[in-house]
Amino acid sequence: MMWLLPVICALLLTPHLVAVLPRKRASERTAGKADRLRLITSAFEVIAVLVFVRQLGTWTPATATLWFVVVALAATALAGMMYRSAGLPWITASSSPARRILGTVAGCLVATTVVVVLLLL
Amino acid sequence: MRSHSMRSRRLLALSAVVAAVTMVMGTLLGPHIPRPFADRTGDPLVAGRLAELASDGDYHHLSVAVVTPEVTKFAGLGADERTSMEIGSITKTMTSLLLIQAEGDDVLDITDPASMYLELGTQPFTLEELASHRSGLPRIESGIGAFLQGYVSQLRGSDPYTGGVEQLVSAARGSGLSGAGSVSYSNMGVAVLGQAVASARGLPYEQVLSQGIFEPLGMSDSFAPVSSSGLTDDAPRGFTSSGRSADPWTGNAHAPAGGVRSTAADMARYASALLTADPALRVDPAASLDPRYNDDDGGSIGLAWFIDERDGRTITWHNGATGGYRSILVLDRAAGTAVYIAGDTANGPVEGIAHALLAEATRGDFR
Repeated sequence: MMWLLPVICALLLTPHLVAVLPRKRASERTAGKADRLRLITSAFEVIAVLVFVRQLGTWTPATATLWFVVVALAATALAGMMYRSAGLPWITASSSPARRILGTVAGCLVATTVVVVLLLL
Repeated sequence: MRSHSMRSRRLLALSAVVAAVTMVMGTLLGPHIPRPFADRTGDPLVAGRLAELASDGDYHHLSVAVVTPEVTKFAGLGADERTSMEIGSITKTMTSLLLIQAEGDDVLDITDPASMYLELGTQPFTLEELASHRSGLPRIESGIGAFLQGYVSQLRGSDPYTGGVEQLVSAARGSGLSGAGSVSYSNMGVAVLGQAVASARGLPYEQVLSQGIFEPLGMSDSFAPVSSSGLTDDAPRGFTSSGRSADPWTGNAHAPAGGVRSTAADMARYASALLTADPALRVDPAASLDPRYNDDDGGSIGLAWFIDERDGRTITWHNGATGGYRSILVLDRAAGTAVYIAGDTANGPVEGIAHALLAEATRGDFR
């Protein structure tokens, strides 16, 4: 049971590992679905997942390794976002800028709330 | 071309910096994983054995008392016999002792319905049924509110028992009874029992406890804080299973079911008094320790105490678990031996260690 939460968090982080898949990275640019605002929201999500597993996981010497696996995944995801950001616009042409900005702010606020609440527990 | 390559390299370097910073922060701010303290205290033989038995578990501080007819020995890892810890549900054995003391003082009869002492409406269970977990009351207060409160407490590592006596009594009054007459562990039941005994005495539970057990036995480092106001800000805290510092569990109205803080020195005194029927107890504790009913696990139950056969010996025991502590008191009454152990990690089981040490103490290994 104590393995469950780190494994779930690892699964939650996996979709953020786009940068390590060159084809996916290319198709993301071609499709015009991703933009820098989405990356910012994703970065907040990654941090929220990290704080979630750190605060609520069952940590023992036996499961400590899993923490570092989760951190390594998060580090890869965040570094990948930085790398991907260069080839992306701030806001995709197909989106309404006001809507995207509001969506980003809302997403970041939710993630920040999760982080703050968990850290204050 | 050259500028593109430089930009790309700069981007890669920046990404590497982001990864490195995340790894460093993840390492620095990672979970606190309690590890067994290497510092041994007390009797070297017992401490050495304790260190061996605790070597592969999730422990931090451990404090142990080994009681034999000849001698009482203490040992610890990062803790000693004066280290205060939450004893959790071992408190229930004290509440059952208060019950038989009250009967001895003609304050009540253990076969009295609890509703004689608390506003429990038509609830039929007796004091003895509460003490032997046969009242049919649920383990904890039922209902969505109580469930959510328990869940939030688990997330926060805080005391889930925050209600006062009125709230407890009201919940018990409105509670459905399931499986009355058969053994089903109930924190709520023993909490009601303790409050009923207190009500019969006309004193708060913590005062009844102090006057009935702690003062007569000289357990000067034992007390039931009842609420957070009964504790100092620097009161010791254990660790949750996430490695976070756990809030103290004082229990409020549930204090009779698990709200005592004590030390190995005091618990050794308690165990010794139980084993020798110390006159300071004013009653024969056998009335509480002797088996009365069979439970579903092949063992039996007295008044709060569980009784099991283990390697051909009859072991009387009760364990405890709070947000940050684990504890157990095991007695081999025939041999006159006992072991108490407490640790300050919620996921550091102490039962196996206690049973091993008790068997060795009974065999005479620590003479």
